Amino acid sequence: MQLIQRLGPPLLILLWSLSYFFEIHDQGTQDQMLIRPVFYIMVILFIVNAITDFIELKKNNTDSFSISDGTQKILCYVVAVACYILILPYMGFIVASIIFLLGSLYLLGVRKKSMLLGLPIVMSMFLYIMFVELLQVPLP
Amino acid sequence: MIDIQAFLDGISMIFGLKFFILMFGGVIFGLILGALPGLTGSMGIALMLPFTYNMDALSALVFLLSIYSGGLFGGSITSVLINTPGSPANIATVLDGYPMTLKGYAEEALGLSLYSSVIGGLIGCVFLLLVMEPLAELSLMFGPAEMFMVAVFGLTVIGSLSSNVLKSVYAGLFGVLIGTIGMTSIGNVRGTFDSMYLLDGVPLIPTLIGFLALPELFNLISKNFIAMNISRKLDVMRIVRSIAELLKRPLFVLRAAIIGVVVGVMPAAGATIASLLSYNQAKQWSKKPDEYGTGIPEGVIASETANNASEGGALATMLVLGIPGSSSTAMLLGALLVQGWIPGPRLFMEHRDVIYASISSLFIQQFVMLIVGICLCVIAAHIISIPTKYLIPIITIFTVLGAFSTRNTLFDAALMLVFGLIGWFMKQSDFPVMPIVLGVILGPIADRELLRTVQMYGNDILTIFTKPICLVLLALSILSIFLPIFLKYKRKVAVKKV
Repeated sequence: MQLIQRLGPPLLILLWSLSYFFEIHDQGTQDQMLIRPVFYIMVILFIVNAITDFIELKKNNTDSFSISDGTQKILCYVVAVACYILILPYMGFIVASIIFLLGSLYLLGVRKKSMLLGLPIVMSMFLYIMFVELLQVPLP
Repeated sequence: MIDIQAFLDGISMIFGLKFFILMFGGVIFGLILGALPGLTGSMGIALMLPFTYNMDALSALVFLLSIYSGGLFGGSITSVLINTPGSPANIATVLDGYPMTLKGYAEEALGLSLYSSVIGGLIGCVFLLLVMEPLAELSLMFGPAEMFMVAVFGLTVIGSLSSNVLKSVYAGLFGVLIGTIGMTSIGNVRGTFDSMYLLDGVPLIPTLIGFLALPELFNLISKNFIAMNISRKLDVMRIVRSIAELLKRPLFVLRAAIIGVVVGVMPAAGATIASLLSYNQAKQWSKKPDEYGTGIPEGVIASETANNASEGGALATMLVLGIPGSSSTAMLLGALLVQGWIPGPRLFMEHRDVIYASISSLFIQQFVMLIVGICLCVIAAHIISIPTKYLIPIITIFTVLGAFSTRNTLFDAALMLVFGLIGWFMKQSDFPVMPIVLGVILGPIADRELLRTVQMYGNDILTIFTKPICLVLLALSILSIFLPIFLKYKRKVAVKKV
């Protein structure tokens, strides 16, 4: 299981690279000049890395796999950020940021009501004024 | 060679209240923008360019150059404190700056960044004055073949960014593939999977923030503070005293500055490649290369000195030849064109006094940056005493805004999050993420210049290695790959003997 955990992300990357390689396969030689050798080297490196990781894990004789509380919290936070990005165009920056800040502060363990309510409102207004009024950078 | 009289006349021209206000204002604006993830000094120049329409040429140049100088240092503040480079030029600062913060030396790291930036900027100015025209002529010798070899040389740094060379190279090549996404220079589309947002390629700022900042931000969720074993009380004197580390290493600083100036001269190479190459060279020539990446002063000094020194080289190319070496110098070029001036050899004949005055202002800006920078470092260093449960959501919003503001599209913010997830999972699998970012930066340069080289030379492509610059870069690339292996072997043998 730990081998899958170790090789999972690089394998996904290799699969994406493979799909990219096939996507440009029909294009001209000039478009593949750099991509083709890079892909081939990645395949070789993945195989070598898989073998070395397998040997290392065998030596250490470990096969434990678990999702820690820390990882669960991180994944929840990632979902919160994704939801924030999704609701931004519908609710506007200020409202979406207040909701996001409130939710994420609670998720991270803040329980003081003054901080839970005050910080999101103050921070959202401050960012709005700084970006839109002072820096003239448009917000979502 | 240097025209001392013109330089002194330039200093006297800008010694006035108006120019000091412009310099302070520009440096403060550049520092703040540079420190905000996703916003850069280049963006600051772009924002302020319209305001310079009504200014005279010298005032416009002084103001915009101040923003440029401030932005280069500003990005190192977030690099050091929260592992988020404020701009691509500060990527290498993350490698040792952030580990220094984790060890409880945030004040020292900030001080080192500041002093290195100031000294690098001053040395860059000296080179700009002394060898402006020869430097600019050197840049003319860089054609597609030479630029391709520069990219290859830059990519050889990838292997040295982590203890596991195989994983570093794998990650770097993944970055190269990401960097090739988009429309090619001959109009074909690659890797966009029919997304119109990727036609221009993968945007750099969301990529930077996604791979570098977000994984660290996620890891902070399980910590109460950024650095666990620090005293809460900020010690300003630690920021001030850190100059001693630079004064102990004069030749080291000079070497980093020279690398910065020379790389700054190369078109499209810029401060990013300057800082990375300087960092890599410092590591390779060090007696203790394994300590790089663990939080040592040399790592911060090498990257920050080089990226500010590259300013001098880039300005030489822009002023003498009218060739911008980066987005910042491209906008400075725009400012000159707005004034009705055409950069090039005639600029020196027709506006010598103003050009030398603006170069003189660069010297003074470094001292302005020192004063303003110390104040900003003191304010910024308080960040590490804020509990992470408050910091993480606030920084997240900054990163989302930073990614959004590049092209005003939430697609970039979503892309940043996806890269953040990929980066976090890769770190869990012991894969370094810095090589990915390097690959994304250098991949498009290598791809574009390789195509141009093949179009120029056709089947005789190997003739590029008869060109002296290509040969030198090839030798440096080979040395860059094999020297660390050789030195590591030598050290192992020496340890065994003991």
